[in-house]
Amino acid sequence: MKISVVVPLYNEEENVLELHRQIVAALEPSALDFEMIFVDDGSRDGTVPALRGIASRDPRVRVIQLRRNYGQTPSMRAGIDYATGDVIVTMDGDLQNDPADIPQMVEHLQQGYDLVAGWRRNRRDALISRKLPSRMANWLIGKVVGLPIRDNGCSLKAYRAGTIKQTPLYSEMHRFIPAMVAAGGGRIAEIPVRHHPRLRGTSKYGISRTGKVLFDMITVKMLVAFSQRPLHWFAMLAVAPALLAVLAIAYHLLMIADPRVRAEAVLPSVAALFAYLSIHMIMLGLLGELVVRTGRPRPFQSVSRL
Amino acid sequence: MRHTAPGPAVSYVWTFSFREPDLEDTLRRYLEVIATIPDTKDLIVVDDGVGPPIQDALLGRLKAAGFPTYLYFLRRGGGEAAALQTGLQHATGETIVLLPSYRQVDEAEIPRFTKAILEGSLDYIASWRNPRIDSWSGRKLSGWFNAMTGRVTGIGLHDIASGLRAMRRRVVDEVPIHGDLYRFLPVLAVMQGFRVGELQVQHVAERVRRGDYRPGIFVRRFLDLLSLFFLSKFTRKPLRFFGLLGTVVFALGAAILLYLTVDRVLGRAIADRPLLVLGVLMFVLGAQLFSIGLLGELIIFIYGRDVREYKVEAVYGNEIAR
Repeated sequence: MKISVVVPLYNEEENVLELHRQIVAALEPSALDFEMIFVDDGSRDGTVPALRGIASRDPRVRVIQLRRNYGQTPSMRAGIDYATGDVIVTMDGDLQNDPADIPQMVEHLQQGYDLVAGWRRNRRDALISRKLPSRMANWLIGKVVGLPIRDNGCSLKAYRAGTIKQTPLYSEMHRFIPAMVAAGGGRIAEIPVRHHPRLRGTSKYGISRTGKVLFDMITVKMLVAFSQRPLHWFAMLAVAPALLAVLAIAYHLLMIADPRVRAEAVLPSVAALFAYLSIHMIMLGLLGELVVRTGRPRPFQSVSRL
Repeated sequence: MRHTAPGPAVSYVWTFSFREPDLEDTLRRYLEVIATIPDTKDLIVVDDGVGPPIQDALLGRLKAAGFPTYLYFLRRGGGEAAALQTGLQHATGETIVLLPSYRQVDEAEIPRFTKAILEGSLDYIASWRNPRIDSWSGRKLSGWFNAMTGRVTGIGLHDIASGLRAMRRRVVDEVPIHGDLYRFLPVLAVMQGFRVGELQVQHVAERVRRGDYRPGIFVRRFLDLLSLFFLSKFTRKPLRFFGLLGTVVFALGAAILLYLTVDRVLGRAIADRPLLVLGVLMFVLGAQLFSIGLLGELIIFIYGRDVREYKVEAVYGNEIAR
């Protein structure tokens, strides 16, 4: 069995040598065959020369240099596309994840899971800007998507290659990989992993992501629940405005039933607007059916186990 | 359709769509300058529906050029975008230089421009006509348009519409050009991860062409810009665009309705107040915008998920097949 360690890197020149050393130190003692795939996400510092130096010394290393900075999800996707192992492990390049956890995760995976996620139990980051938003996001993702994973944001994860290569992974969806895998019928485990404070280089995250994550979450919820039958979902959105329309028109009729009351145009207008929204939702649902029926037959692939 | 035979170092592409008296003069100037280029070169001319009398004169000049030249004739006139596409399809050079369809730039700049793309490290070089010799309003309009484009796309080019453009083969192969978006070729190139730069060139007095200042042009440019803005920022995440817009409008509508509800509870009639219609309208519009974003996400999920967002510049190390 071969393990591919995929690491997206962006301006991490100070960390790559140590990262390579740690991965090798963690995996060499085990009997596992492994390769390392370093993806350079358009770094503007010395990351690429450093990586090339490593690749020229170690034949287990491949360096994928992207043309510009695309973000974490596309660079992860690139690394996964180039990986040749049976098991793919993703991790951050900032040395906050510890490669020493990899053998244990792979062992867990072999017990019959498709995805083993790391859980940074003792997370060593700033509380206000990093840990609190992350905790809220995880709670919300658990509630909305219905997947009780404690730490969606931890990059250290191990997957069966067949599973992750089939999982939709675009935009900034890497946070939702567990949800997507679960939607395809995959089995998921979460185990505690070590976490170290960042020693060198700078963090590329900020609190500004919160709003984006919210919209992404709604997207994933919709995709997981209804990408097979969008009309049902949009029809549900059509119910509330339809009720409001009926209510408004009923109230209006009640009022004009009294001959002393002069009829007002406002309530019928309100009813018409709500009716319009209701019809809009149904039509959009039909359009959704059109999209889904002409597209790929099974949006979420069911996973294959080894 | 790319030719398989190895092409020249530089292919020049010149397209024109309007019957203008100085076409022959423009070609003469181009031919004279291109003949002085030391590298291997050819010239692809696309006649976009202008036709015989002028065409014959041009053909005579092309035959006497002294280097390979080709003329393609779009009988029906397919528009500037189609002409450009034809020219690019038949250009075999490793580097491609697009020549303005009418005289915009002093042709003596062409060798310097060619040299910049051949010897520099950039994938695309735009020209910047500076200083401009234009009417005041033309300068203002163009400046405003370029500033807008820069703001919207985050690209700091000064003269996006300038017709003299140089690019490497791979830009043409990888950047999808459809419709009027060819005007924004440098922006599309940056989106694909290419290195784009600009070079100042000597502007010459341009003849105002018919149709240049129709009001419809501004509407079309604005729509192009809107589509570019949306595509460059939200192609993979439509809900972030529609969702944010929808949420704001929806929240305003909800606030109005809440205010009216409180008023009603306090005993004031609301059924005859126009504010109620505004509130409901915004409520409905917000929900509508949001739902369109959801449909957009569904489309991307179904059709876009297998399209790779990244472009690989190079792979180092262990070269095994993917």
